[in-house]
Amino acid sequence: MPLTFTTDSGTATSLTNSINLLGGTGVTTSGSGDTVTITSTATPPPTPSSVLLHTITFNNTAFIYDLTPYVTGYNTYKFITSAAENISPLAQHSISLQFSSDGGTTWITTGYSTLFFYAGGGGFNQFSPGTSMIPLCVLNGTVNNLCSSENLLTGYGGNKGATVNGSWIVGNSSSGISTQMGGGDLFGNPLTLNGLRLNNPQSTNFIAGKFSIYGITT
Amino acid sequence: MPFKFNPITNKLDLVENGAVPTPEQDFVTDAGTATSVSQVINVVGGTGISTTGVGDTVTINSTASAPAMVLLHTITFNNTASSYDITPYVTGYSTYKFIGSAVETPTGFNPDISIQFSTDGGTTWITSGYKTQFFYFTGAGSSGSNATTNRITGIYVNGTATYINQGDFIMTGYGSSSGAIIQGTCATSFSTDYVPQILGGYYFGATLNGIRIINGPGTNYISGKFSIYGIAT
Repeated sequence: MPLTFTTDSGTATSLTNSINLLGGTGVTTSGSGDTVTITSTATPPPTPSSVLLHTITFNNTAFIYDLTPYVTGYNTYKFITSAAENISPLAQHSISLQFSSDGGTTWITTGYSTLFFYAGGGGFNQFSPGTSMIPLCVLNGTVNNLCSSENLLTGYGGNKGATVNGSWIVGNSSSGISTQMGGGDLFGNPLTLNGLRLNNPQSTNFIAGKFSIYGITT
Repeated sequence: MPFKFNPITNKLDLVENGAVPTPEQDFVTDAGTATSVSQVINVVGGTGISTTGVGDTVTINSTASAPAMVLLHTITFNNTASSYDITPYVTGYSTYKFIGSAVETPTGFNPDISIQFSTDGGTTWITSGYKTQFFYFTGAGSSGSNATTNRITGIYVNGTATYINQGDFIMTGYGSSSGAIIQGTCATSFSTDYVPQILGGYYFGATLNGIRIINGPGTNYISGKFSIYGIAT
């Protein structure tokens, strides 16, 4: 009585006590003695160069998020803000970063060098949002804003501080779209940073959207 | 009732009607043993695997998708060189990403992290004809410049202090007959300022098959990393 092999798509039935077990895309098979070995042909197995470490989904419950537990294991990180929304009763809301040198027990609130360049609303210029934190995405005006950004963090965990740099775009119903580029640093020699948090300097909650942290293999 | 011919008696012998055995078969795997039931065995794809069966053949396919970005090589700077031939690593893709991570440039006049191409696989290097542009802004103001024509500047350091730099760039066209273009953003950091930049350049109208990193002033890179990624397109 022949043996039937039921697969994801169709069945195969042995004939004269023989079944063909073949490798398809990305797979090879080999047989020896009473053993069949199935092997992936991806050589070497691809190592992801970018790994999602954590995602925060904003839901109008907080304006500070400690990222320290997730920002580990790499020397280079990428942050992507996806359609983050703020209610802006005050101008110059931003999605910003602050560092710690004691693992997050206390936070460094002075000494940052920051700068970004913006173009939109019929003009362009540069602006420094201060020295208390590094902007990842600056929201403009006093109405709801949507923001998307991509920022690179390097130096974190080393001994000379850290740099954050990137570009972003913000939009709202009153002043339209603004494209921006910049960030900041906390430089020191030596300075080892081992804590990191998101903060909104205007202390109002992030309403919606996502903030994702990626480790970059270098 | 079944019968069987008996050659000694030349008669048919009655054969008792017993149960026909069903030989179930064991399939020993990496983790556990599967046993066929009623002559049927299930060959099911797990994570990243699908299976199909036709006739007397079972085919096993990988469904794993290729990663969109693959690390090809990383240079770790250690104060031993001012140029690095990266030709062996920049291959197999039409689009590449370069990331400079916490690169410490030497003190001295205006070091940079730049790119030069070759049309003979790296035997000689092209030292003229590049079109470049960068825009920077500092606490003191902003400006643009077509910085150089002998290389494409990826990270430009304007000063003589200890700088820690980062950059994130895309290169397209390399290997085609149209030349290549590099575009990205970078930032230089030192004790008193942070300087973001948008910059890049291109070399037009040649099949480029060699590429190197070079510091214009010729001094060694102190520390940090420079990584090369292939981008699936």
